[in-house]
Amino acid sequence: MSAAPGPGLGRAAANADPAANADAATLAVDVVSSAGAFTVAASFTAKEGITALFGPSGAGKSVTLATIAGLIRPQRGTIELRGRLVADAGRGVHVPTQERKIGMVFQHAALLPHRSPLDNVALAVRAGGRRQRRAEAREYLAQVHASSLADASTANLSGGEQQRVALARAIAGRPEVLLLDEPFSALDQPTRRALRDLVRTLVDAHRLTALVVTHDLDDITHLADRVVRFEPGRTVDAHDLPVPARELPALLGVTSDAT
Amino acid sequence: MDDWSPLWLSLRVATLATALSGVVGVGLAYLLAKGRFPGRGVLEAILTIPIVLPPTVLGYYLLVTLGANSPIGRAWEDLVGAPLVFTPTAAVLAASISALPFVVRTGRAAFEDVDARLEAAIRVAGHPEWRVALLVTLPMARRGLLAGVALGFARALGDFGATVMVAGNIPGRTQTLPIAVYDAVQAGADDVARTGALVLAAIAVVVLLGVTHLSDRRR
Amino acid sequence: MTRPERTSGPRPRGRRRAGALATVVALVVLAACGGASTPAATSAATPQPNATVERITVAAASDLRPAFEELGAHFEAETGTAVTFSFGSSGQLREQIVNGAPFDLFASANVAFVDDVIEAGRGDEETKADYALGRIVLWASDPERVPASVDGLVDEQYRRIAIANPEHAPYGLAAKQALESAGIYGAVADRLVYGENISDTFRIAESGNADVAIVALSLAVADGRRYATIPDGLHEPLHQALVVTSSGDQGAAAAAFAAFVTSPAGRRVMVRYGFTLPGEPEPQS
Repeated sequence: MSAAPGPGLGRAAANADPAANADAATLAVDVVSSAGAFTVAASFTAKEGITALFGPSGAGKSVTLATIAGLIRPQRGTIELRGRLVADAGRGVHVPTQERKIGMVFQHAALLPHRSPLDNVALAVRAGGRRQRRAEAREYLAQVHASSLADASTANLSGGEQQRVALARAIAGRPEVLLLDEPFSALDQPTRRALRDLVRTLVDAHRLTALVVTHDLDDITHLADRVVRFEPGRTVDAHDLPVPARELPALLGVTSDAT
Repeated sequence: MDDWSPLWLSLRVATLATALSGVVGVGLAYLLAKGRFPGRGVLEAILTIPIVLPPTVLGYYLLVTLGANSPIGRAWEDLVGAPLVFTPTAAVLAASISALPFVVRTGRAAFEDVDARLEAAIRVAGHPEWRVALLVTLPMARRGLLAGVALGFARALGDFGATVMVAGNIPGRTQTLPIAVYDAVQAGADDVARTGALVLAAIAVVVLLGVTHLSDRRR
Repeated sequence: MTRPERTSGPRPRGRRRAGALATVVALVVLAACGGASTPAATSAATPQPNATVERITVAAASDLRPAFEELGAHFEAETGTAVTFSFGSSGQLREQIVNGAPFDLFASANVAFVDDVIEAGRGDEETKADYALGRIVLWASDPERVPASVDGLVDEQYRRIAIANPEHAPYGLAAKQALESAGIYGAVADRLVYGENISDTFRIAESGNADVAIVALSLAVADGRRYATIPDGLHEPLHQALVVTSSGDQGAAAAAFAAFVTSPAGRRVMVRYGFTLPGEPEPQS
């Protein structure tokens, strides 16, 4: 594991990243964070649309995502969300997860198995009485085309169905930022395609800033507007998309064998 | 066996002791599973003591701590008008302390087994920690917690050494079934002893079968 | 690869199991609450018109069980006051009384423990009385194997010799003293097996788990099989004393029981069970 360089927004600015316009950025990440013995230094910005966090397994993408969510405190650095400082390790600022307006989708849905899909989504609706929250939850389920699943048995849903419900839950809290941690890797190709389209639709409709952790090239080519590239332990650079297909492997630092 | 009062007394004492050690134990298990505080290791170690000490020794220390010569014992006597030791209450306390480590250890493992991502998802959804515990941690851990409580009940029911020291062998008041069986053995009343022992064993087998069943079910 | 849709799912089986368990627990609790709470060791005697005290609790050394249970029955028939016994090792009972155990009378196998209780303020010195001089005997479940004297214990055939724990059982201490006086303690020490109290010791030998035991005369007498008395010069006298440990009406009733134990009628019962005072004839094997 290479030594992680210190944080500094200057690094991100020094990268070939013409779209990292401070005005347009809705999320600015510049942290050193660790989970157990593993440490990652991540420095990048994101704006409305879909930014892919791409890199090999174990590079630190999920740890970075968890830090943005507030589930992990960074050891050094800052996180700004829509201009608001939600984490500053140096000054002891740490807005708890509950108060960051984020939505999150995990690789395996993480729905409560003892509650119905509707209840799961309703749990994320932030305001209103029970009836109102359930009504709103139905609307979100409709947005992900899962209305028929409202009262299904959560544990018996297929992988794709679970991810739809998870997406509905993620947007039900009216988040500013949507975090997706390898949301499609456990699904088959047709389901992945359908869900990619769904994510695209939701991000555009709600004008979300979405981060998608992935090591699937198809996500880069078919979903992302930008890609932030990770190497083990750190972010390296960022690029706007799309780029011509033949340039992609070099851009991503993968050989054609690895695609 | 023509006098069954030790059995009823045992069931009463064990049920109350299980309720007490269940509530306290689950709370401590949660604290140990989730908390990061100084002295956590010490707390863990202290909670193992009732398992490690010989029960009569545990009973002796309880006697000294709660007896008529102790601050706690005197305060109790001032408050209630009667000593704390050598009462059914003392039997409940002895059984609770014997059962506590089992509830805590099993409960803690159950809490630690809960998928952290489920808890994270509920945090992300905006719920405070206590809601996370109520919505996710406790429901997901309930099978393991139940198993821990069942084990605690079996331990509380079978306690002898600690109970006989701090509650005494007073027929009708504190002579629980294990003590009655021991007493019968001492008196040479083998039939009574055999019956009592069988009843205790039967209850223990039923409880532990239940525990195994609860723990084995696929999630 | 989608699964067929489900409408409202069935209630998870986990809930049904929890419900069943709750029902069982509730039944157990109900049974516990409904259970009778009559004392185990006493019979329901018709109370005499002048019995003000319903019941006294007596802490007694375990070797007193057969004798005192009979005395208790007599006492209840005469006075209407029931007697509940807690038998145990005298040392343990002393510990409990000193720490507040609510016994009305303490009958110890050793006067030293009675003195401890009095010194701790838990016993009425006025009521202290000797009720027997303890004697130890050699006993085995197979009468053929009882040695004629303590010296016989060095024989290798006695691989396990049971005595009461000398730390807190007076009879155990006396046994150890006898072995030491006979000069054989070192030879047999690694073959000794300790019983929690003298009754426990007797059980160990009776069940065949020890080849021979040094037990209280009273227990051997109660059993009926052959025993060999150990000369009382080999150990410090086992003054067995009692003391009243409560006051008021309970204390008075306890004193009445103590008086009964030491009365001529009581003495006849005690002698029958092997408890003698100096001057009284010893029961023979």
